[in-house]
Formats: sequence, C-alpha cells, structure tokens
Amino acid sequence: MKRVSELAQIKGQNEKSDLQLVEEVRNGLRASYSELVRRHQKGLLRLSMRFVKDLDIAQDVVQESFIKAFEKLNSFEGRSSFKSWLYQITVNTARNKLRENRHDYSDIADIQLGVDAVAEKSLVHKAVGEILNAEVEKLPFKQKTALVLRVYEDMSFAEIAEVMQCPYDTAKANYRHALLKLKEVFEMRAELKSWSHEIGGFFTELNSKYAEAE
Amino acid sequence: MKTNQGMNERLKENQNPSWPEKPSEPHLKEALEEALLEKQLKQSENIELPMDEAFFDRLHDQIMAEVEKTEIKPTTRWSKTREFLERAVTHYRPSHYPRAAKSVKLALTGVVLTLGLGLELASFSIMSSTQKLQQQKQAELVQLEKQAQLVAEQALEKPEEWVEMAVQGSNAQDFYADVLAEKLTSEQLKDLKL
Repeated sequence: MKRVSELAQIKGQNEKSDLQLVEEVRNGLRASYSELVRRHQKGLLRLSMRFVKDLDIAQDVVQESFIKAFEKLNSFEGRSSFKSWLYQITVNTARNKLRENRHDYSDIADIQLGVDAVAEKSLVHKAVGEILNAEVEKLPFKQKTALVLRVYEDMSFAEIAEVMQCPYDTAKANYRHALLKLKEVFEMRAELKSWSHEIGGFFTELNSKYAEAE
Repeated sequence: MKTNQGMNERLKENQNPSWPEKPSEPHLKEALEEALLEKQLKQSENIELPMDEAFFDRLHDQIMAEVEKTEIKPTTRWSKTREFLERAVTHYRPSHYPRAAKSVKLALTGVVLTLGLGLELASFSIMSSTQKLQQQKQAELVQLEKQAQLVAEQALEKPEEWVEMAVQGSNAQDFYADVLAEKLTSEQLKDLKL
C-alpha cells in the first residue's frame, strides 16, 4: 500500500504542467501535445455535448478545437490557464457548429411535458429536470455558457470570464441573468407547483430558524 | 478536471458572497433558491458520455493524426488584429444588437442608394457631354467642308488671285505655303495660266 502511494507521489512529481507541455510543443516536441490532448479531451467532449447535443458533432468540435489550438499555439501568451484558453476555443467552435447546423435542430419550445397526472416524487423531479434542461437550451448563448461553466464545470467567475473573454462582472451578470430566467420559469409554470411547494416549505423552515437565531 | 487554482477561487467566492455580512431574509432566500437551482441543474444533467477508454483512445489518435498534418502558425505583427477580428465575427449576432443592426442596415441602404444615384448622374452627364462634343465636331466638319468647297470654287474660277492670296496670307512659319508659293511662282504658275 505504501509502495503504491510512493509511486503515485513520484508520478505526481514527474507530471508536467500544461504550460511546460505547451513550451515543449513550441520547441518542436509534438508528443507533448498528445499528453495535452489526453488530459483535456474528456472535458472538452463533455462541454461540446452540452452545446451541440450530438456525440458525432461534439467529436468534430473537439477535434477542430485541438487543431485550432495547435495552430495558434504561438499566440497563447499564458495569461490565462491553458485549459481556459482551450475551453474558449471550444465554446467558439461549438457556437459556429450550432450556427452551421441551426436548421437541423427541433424547436425546444415544442416539447410538451405531461406531468400533471404524475404523483410520484421521483417522476416529478425527473420532469422538473427535463423542463430545466429545455429552459437552459432556450437561454441566450452567453448566459448559457456562463451557466454551463459555473454549474457543470464548477468554474470560478474569473475562469468563466477568461473563457468568455469578457470582464469578471459581465461573466457574473450573465450567470445571474440565466438563473433569474430559470427562476421566473419555475414561478410561472404550473407543472412545477409541487416542486415549488417543496422549496416553499424548505424556505419557511429556514426562515423561521433564521428568525429564532436572530 | 478542475484545477486547484480554480477550486480555490470558487471557495473564496463562496466565502465572500455578494450579500452583506448579516444577510437579510430576501438575500438568504435568493441565495438558497440559487443553490437549489444549481443542485437541480446538476441532478438533471442529461449528458451521457462514452465511458470506455477505447473510445477516447480512438479520438486521441484521430486528433493527433490531424495535428501531424498541421503546422504551428508563426506570429506576425497582424496576428493580434486578426484574432480580434475573428473574435468579433464569432461573437457578433445582430439579434443581440437590434439598434446597431438597424443603423448598419440603414447606413448600407443609404450608401447603396447614393452610389447608385451618383453613378447614374455621372453616366448621364458623361453621355450628354460626349453628345455635345460629337455635335460640335460634326458642325465644325460641315463648316470646314463648306469653306474648302468655297475655296476650291474660287481657285477654279480665278487661280491667279487665289495664288496671290495664298502667298500673301502665308507667314514665315508657314512652310507649306512657302513651298507652294515658290513652286507656283516659277513653272506651275505658267501652267495654271494656261
């Protein structure tokens, strides 16, 4: 057991940072780019899938993004992390792909969900999730990007700002607007009544506890 | 996937929320609602990625095969400008700037109309001036022909007078007139008299 942890430690020490690998690639060592691809391909594929919703197209987006990144490697100044830079390229590539294939997608607003008759709690939650996803798809691209990066990629606003190439406050504002829109939907849609009640009860309980503490 | 730096930044953000130290009820409610929404969004995640390593190995190989054919572009003094323009093109969506899009459309229409009208006016003025020039030239030609005819008639009627007139009318610079006068005064004048 001790031996395994020692090996892991040695491996961790030997593991090069993204910036070191980038420098090696710039100096002509293409094999280092292979390591960068291995490190980031899963994350990029997940991110692309969130925008294009199709595995084949997402693979194209990832491939295109890595090639673009390789071509532009000299223009990467290292002000942001390599990952942020790569995500930035991927978001832009996915956006272009969406524009190219815009007519291929069905209108999300047409999706109808019949949850009125569903009593089961788990099913309600599932329906809520579906509605949420549909509403996320309807968000403007910048708001959606901020939401996706914050919620699913667990990024800080500073990192989101780097990826979106905008000021910190703009990234934050985009995220806030996205959340506000989703909240509005929750307040408006009757299907979410049961879930809202659940939240309502939770809030009442919390508010009373807060009042007691005061 | 998450970098340590990013995680630290996010922790800091959570420790220093945007609401005051003693949160009011609406602030607290808002924060909780947001947290619940985030949680719900995470739970409702419907992205299914392939889990087998073989898939990612294939993707990696495909990417690297393409990378092998690609070269890193050298940076030039225009690289940054080009990137900026590319970014502007990527991010620009007329629907996000309806006023700007409307003004651009109006401006473009104005430019096209002005250019069209200007071109038409210019072509019209060029055509009319060309026609005028042609008419002038024709009139001059007709006049010259008439004059030539008149002179020829006079010369045929009274060749001596005409020769004298031609000689008198010539000046020192008129080489042809001199030559003509010289020749006519000697031998040909006798012929003409005949």
